[in-house]
Amino acid sequence: MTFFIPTDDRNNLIYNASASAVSYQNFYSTTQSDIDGTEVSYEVKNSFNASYVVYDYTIQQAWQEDLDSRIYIELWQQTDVNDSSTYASLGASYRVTEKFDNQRQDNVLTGKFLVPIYAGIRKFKLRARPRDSGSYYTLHMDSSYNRYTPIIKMYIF
Amino acid sequence: MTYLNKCYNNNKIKILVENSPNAQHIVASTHTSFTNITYTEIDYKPQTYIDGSKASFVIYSTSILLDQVSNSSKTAGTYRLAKSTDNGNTWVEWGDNTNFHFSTWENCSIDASVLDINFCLDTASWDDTLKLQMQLKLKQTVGAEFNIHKNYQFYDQSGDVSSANNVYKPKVMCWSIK
Repeated sequence: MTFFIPTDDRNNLIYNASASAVSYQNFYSTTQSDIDGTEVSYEVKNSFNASYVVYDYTIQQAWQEDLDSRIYIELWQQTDVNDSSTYASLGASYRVTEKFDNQRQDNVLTGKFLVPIYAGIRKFKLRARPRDSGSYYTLHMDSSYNRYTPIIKMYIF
Repeated sequence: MTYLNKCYNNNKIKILVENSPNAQHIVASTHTSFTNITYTEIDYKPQTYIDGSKASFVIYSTSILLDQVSNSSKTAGTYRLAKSTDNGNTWVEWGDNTNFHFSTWENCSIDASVLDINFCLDTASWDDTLKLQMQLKLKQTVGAEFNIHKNYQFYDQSGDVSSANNVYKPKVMCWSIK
């Protein structure tokens, strides 16, 4: 499918105001947590025949303590922005694993989740957990403690 | 003079998404030469503008998940962009520095990650529709084995849900730049 989309909608760069204050975030328990700075609202005012809303993320990851770390990340969606009870995982087709083994690795994690086009406004965020408490994972800074604010871009395609 | 305050670009965006991808199993016994990566194929022709000029560049963009198939397998691979001018019967590498390697060596490894791939392609000799797709071969043959598109394991807030079909939908996009 080929279609044309206005520049201002495609380039709708979302910058979450709270993201500027994001501190480093450790994941070391078996509880799934929100990834700080990744929650954004996106309104589709006119779909322009687009098929998808893109959730595009860039997040710094740091080596801290473990040489063998893995984290499981998934996209959540709030279909009614006035009702937090509607926040739910988008399910098994919106999941990624990031894992390194036996090394001291800093990296920038990137990815794109495509949600079928909708009308109105919805809220999205990433949630994550390591596999177990022995799999330590740190986000939003490198191993020299330099901070890197997560970047979330949303646009229609 | 009156300007339109909402300018529609004409960069001819094309996007393909596979909503129910099957895992592509990459293993040393069969993938030591370049093989096609599933769901990364797209047909595209550079945009021609109203003044008759052609786009100078095309962006080829794809995003795929790599994940191990056991706790000890690795994802080391060499990747390249390929093109076909005969509707997919034969494929040749695009060239022009569109090859790269992903992963690490020896005992260190990246066992799972998303690959966000973007190439800026010169359209100087590109006038008709081409098929494009990514290809890969294993960088090393010892211990290198992985799946594309499917998570090996997954733990959510309820615990181990690895038995579900946990996937990352592969997507491929092209658009033109004047």
